[in-house]
Amino acid sequence: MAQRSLKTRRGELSFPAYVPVTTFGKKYPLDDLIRPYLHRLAPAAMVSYYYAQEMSPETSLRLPTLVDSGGFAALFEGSRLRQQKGLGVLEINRDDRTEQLHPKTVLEFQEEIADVAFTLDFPIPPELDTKEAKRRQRLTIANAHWALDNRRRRDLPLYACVQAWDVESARSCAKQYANGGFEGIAIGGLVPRARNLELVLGIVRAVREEIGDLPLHVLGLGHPNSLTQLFEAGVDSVDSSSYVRYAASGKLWGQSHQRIEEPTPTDRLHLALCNLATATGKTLPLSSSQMLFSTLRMSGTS
Amino acid sequence: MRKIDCGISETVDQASPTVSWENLRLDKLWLRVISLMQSGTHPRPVQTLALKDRKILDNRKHLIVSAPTNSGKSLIGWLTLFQILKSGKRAILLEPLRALAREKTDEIESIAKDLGEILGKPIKVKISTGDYRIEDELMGDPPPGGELIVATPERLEALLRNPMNLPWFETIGAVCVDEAHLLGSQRRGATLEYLLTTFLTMVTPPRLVLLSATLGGTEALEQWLSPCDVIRVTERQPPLEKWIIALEDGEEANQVAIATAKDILPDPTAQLLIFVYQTKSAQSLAKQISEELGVDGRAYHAQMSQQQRESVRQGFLSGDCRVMVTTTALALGMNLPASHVVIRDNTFPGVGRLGAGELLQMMGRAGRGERPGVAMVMVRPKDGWDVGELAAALRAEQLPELGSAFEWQWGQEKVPQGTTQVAALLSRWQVEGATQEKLTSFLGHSLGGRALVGQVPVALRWLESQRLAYEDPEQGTYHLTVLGRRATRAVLPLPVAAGYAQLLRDLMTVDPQDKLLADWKPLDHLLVLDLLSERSPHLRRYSAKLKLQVDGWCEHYPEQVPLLFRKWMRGDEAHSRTVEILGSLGLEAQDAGRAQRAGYLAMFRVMVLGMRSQGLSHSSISQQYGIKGLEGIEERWRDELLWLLSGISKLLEIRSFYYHLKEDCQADFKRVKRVKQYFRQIRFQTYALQEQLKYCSPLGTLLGEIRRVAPRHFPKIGIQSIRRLENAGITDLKTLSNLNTEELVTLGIQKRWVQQIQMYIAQRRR
Repeated sequence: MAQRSLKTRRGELSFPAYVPVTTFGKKYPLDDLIRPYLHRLAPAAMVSYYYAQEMSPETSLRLPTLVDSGGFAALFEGSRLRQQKGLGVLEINRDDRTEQLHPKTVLEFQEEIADVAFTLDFPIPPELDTKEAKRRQRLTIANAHWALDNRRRRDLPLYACVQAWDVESARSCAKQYANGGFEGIAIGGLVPRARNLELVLGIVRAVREEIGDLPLHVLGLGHPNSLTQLFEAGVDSVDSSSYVRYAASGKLWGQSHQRIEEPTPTDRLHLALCNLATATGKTLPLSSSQMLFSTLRMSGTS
Repeated sequence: MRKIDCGISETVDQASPTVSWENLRLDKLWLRVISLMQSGTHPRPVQTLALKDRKILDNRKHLIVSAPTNSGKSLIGWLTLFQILKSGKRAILLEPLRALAREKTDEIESIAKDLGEILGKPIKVKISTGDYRIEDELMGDPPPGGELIVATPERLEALLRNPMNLPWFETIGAVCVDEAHLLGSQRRGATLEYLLTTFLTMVTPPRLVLLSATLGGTEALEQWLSPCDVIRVTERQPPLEKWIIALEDGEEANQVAIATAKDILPDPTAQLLIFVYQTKSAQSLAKQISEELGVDGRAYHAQMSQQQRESVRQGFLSGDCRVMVTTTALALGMNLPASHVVIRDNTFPGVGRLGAGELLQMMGRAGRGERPGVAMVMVRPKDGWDVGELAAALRAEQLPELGSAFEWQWGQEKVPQGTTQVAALLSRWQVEGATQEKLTSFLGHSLGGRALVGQVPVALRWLESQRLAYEDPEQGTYHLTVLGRRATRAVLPLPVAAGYAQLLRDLMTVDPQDKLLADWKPLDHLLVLDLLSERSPHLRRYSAKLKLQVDGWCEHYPEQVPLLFRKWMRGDEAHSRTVEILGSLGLEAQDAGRAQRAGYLAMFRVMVLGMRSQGLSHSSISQQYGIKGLEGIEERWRDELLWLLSGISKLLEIRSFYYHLKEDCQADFKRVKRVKQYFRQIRFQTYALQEQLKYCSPLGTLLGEIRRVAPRHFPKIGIQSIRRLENAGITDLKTLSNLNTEELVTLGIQKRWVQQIQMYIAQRRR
């Protein structure tokens, strides 16, 4: 089978791909430690719109950078989704001020720094009433089409985001994007449904049926246990921060019964790199394996 | 003559309800901006279409706005630029003429402060057209609040040639192109297209807004710019009556124009704009109208100084001047509200007929406020337009599809099409060089991509043949030579740079002792540039008398006679070797007689300009040498030479000729050092010439001398002080030396400059 890939400004992204999520700024210092290794261990990196604002030329990544829309903030308390001239706009209360997330500001920013962009979408949590769910989906679709119509940077692949509450609504959403001109389709909103693998895979298969050969990305799901099945169901790429979250808790993938009780920053770094290498299939570089890592310190979980 | 009615341009239905700005559902901020710019108005159809129906302020697409003259499309351009300014980025407005750029800059500068308050940030406005008189270039980050630059396309393109300026270009958020139909223009289209291609291929493309009153089919343009919105309105407000005046055999065009003016002018509110082909026609017709009709009729053309043109404009705007006769070349700059327009010449001898678009563009200048415009095109029996054909074209107002300037073969060009753009790209990519593929890839993104791409190998071969570029065979990349890079960055026409350099190389080849270089005079620069320039003015015809005058001047001022004229060009046909000089310059070899006459004409012009640069007055030169209209011609002529001299000065450096000296002349170190010294001398000659040409002051040479003897490292007296002396009637050293310190200070000269002047005078007395 021919290798599938996506051409980006900063190089080709070969599929299947595990794309680690990283952040910028002061909130997650572990990400700063991981970042210099990313280009050696990962094919690309995903940055959320929110954290990407903290990127600077000095800290910019040396590999294809995927930038999402920040729409997951619709799940935050205090955020409000409004319709404005037919488009979905999110108002987010953050640090005593209100920020507005508009498809235009998202796209402008993505055109400046991203190598792959995702349209502004609004996650539909499992318990949401159908009326509101449909509204969120409608606005997600409107935003996607608007972004496609208004993208000026021709070398920026644009992924339209699918948001749905079940298999049929996912299919219907994907149908609206198929043959639209998007370079890829991304499925969001699956993280709260991650435990229901059957539903997740059903949604993936339904979307894949509608979109033909277009690259398919799943947002936020990246645990090794489900990766193989996702790829087999037709997913080309996933993004996840679980590699680093596991590491932050002192856990190593593949050894879930063990953990380091009070991991030091070096421990966390090494665990994160090990997790990332496991996910991407790369080999850890020499510099990281020379770090002190004592399995003797790992204890079994109770 | 007979008048043929070609109908009335479609107009807005007066019965439709008037829309207000509030109806457009714009943010309050934009309503305030509109109120600031156009208080008390209602939105025009094109504005409603753009702002309400297409919501251009809510989307990011490129825009093409096609609407008649005075239809309100400029506001659309302004709003998209202001939107970018608000975000803190740079916005550029491109105008085809310096005069238009100045007009727009003045318009925005007058409201910049209030605009900044509305947008919530201070707005800085700058003009950049390469006019040395008014500008100061700064290539830093945009100032806080955003910056609006009003520029000509040529100026912006010149900035692109220097890779150091590329980060500046990355700060541009939007570009508005006025008179965008010039994309298809033979003369201007290539530069504009190249510029837009650069913007489209930038890492973050700015928003492009193209405005025009005469755009035909835009399908190709729309595809090129995609994503792109096209906003098209064809209805005019006020309506335009279109007429043809068909002349019979024997009818004289001027008389018909005067008769037409006679019919129009009894209406005290009428003002007439007449377009003619040539400058002298404009002058003679304006004079005739004034004399025969007793009204204030004035000519307006490129051979007038800026001041003179501004005076005529103001006269027309105030209503004092009721008839203005202008050349078609200045049609673009005619932003004047006339009630009537007459186009006297629709066909230019040796060039052909004007297109329907050009005619409609000029006719569209008629109409003011609510008053319908009336526009007439005169058609003579021998014109390129048949009356019936023109009537059909004017009725239909069908304009041709806008295409790329590169898609046409414009005739015999000195340089293969696309060469300038290839050189500009090589200059931009100077460090890494460019493969043919890279050049092809960029140019393939242009509107005329297909046509241009095929020209790349041809252009590269030409550049190599002129020693302006070379290929690195190992890397397969092309690079500009030192000479090529300097010429391109200086925006010198490539044939001028190539010819000048070849002549110098030939001199170095034939004279291993470099006595010729040592003997090079300042006027040699002007002579060579005159021969190479395609725009030298016609001062007089060649005649035996002219030859005598030139020879006489050379006898009188032997120290100023150019080396080239003295050694090669002077003499009668049998003895003059001007052909050899033309050959070295890469100019078409002519027969000896024509070459000799061309040489003398060039020398005549050099003589005249030389005298002007030393401060001799127009009138004395014109009287002595029988030249008409020198004052009007001079400004443009000097500007052209100043630009070329500035560019040439950058070439006159040993590194531009090092390869030739070492490889072709086998020069040793001693010779290289000698030539380096001579180039320095020659280069300094160009600086001095530029100073003299800039000011053309009788005290110009004196200024130079005072500065020369003033202590080093101290600030030196400048032209302002010299102008004050001139205004006080002091034009020579003798009068100046009779003034004491107090008298000089009273004239407004600062004490420190008075000291410098007196120091110089004291030295001269010794």
